[in-house]
Amino acid sequence: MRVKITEAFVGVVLMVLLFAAWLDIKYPAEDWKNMILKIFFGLLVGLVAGLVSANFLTKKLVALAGVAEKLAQGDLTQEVSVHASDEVGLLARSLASLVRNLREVLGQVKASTGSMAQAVQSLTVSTSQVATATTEVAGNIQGIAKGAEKQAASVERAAEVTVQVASAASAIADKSRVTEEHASTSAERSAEGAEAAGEANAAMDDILRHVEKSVEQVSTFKERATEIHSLVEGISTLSHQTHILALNATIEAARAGDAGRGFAVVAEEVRRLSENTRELASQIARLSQEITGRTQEVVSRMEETHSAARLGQKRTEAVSTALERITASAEETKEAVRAISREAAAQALGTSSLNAIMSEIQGVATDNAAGTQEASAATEETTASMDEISQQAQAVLNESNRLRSLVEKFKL
Amino acid sequence: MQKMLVTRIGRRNAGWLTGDLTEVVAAPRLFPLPFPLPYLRGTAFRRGKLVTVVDCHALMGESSPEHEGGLLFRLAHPLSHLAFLVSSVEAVIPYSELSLREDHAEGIWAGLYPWEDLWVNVIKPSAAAAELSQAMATAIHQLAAGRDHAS
Repeated sequence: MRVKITEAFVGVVLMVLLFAAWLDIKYPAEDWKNMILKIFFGLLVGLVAGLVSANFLTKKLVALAGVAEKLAQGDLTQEVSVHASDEVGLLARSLASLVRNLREVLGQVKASTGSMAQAVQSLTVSTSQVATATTEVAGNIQGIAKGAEKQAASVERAAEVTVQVASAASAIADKSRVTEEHASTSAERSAEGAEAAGEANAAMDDILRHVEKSVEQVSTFKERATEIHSLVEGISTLSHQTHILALNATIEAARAGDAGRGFAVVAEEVRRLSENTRELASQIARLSQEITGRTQEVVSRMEETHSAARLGQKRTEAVSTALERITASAEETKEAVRAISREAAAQALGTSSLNAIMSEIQGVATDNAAGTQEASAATEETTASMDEISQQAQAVLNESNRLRSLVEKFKL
Repeated sequence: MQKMLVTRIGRRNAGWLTGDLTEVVAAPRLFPLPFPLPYLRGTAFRRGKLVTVVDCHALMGESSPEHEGGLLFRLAHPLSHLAFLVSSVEAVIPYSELSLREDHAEGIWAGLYPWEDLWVNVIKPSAAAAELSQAMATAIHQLAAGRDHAS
């Protein structure tokens, strides 16, 4: 209201001044009545004109003030409906332009805060995923680092083993040369053994022939002993008959009485002779039986000897065959050991080269271990950075939400 | 000069006077007799006569030697139809009737006769023949009685 009065007063003063100026210009020598009337009239006209003009101006300004009031409350949906070509119109157009620009800017800000919130959320999620992935990568790098350390240790052990293998290969080469010499000696000895076995086989043939002859001769002895036994049995029979004859002579001598005394003596001598003969025949029979028994034992032993000699001959043949095979095998062994010696020498050379390669691999493995440790440290730093980014993103998200809440206070 | 043939029959020595014998031969083939007397081994033909052979071992209650053979002592006349089967003759020793101890004479034994540090039971063939004849008569009688009883 105060604004309206001020505006009206200013308008009246301006109208009066304008009217007085016009009178002074048109009527410079009038008197004071006319002058006062003129002034009064001028004042009245100026007052009316000022009131009209003030009312006209106040109405537009009130409309603009209402719009400004709505704008101050955040309502940007207001449209400036004042149309004029004066300063108020200019003000209205400026205000409308301001409203449009502000609406556009706030719309863009609102859209941007939404996009930014989504982006920040995506960034947060991505940061979290990256942090998780980085943690996993860090774990994997830790595993790789441990594996690299183990690899380095394994390579070192492998290098040591390679050295041992090289030493063993060299020793194998030396032993192979010695074994080759032994194989050659074995082949020579086997050949000598085969030759000796052949000679032994021939000797066994001689033994067999001698044994067979001995068996024949001893069998002849046995037959002779059997004949002797038969003869002794005949002698025993004769002795028995002589004994009986002497007994009968004794009986006849006794029957003859004194005349047969001499005959009795003869009969007694004959009886004694027959008893001696029987005793001798008995001894011869025992000896003959003993000879027969011993001869049978000798025959059995000779037959056993013959069987053993035959078996020995077969075994000697088997030994000869085996020695020939051993000789062939020893030759093959010698060739094989020679090949082994060559291969062992090549292996020793190869293991020396392998040792150098293993040394290089050991260096690479050590570098890998150091690199993985550095990578592990880098991933830890990355994890820390991602945590910081996540915190910053969360702060940005919070600011974005706060900005969006501020923007949402405006009605667009 | 009388002599004595010493034989071994079981656990005792038996003596045979040469005057009681007609001959000594190897045991011939024997033909069994149908008498239930264990010491009658059978009969044999000798010099055209049928001779009854008595096993001395069985006669004296001893077990007979398992082996075949042995000697046959054929008694002198009039007992030449009897012969005693012995294993062998251990010795032929001189005999003197003065050395015979007749205080042990009993049955078929004529007495004891010293031989080295042993004693020989001297056989009395006539007594042996008498006991044998008695036993054979009894056996024949029992055999005949058995046949009569059976018929």
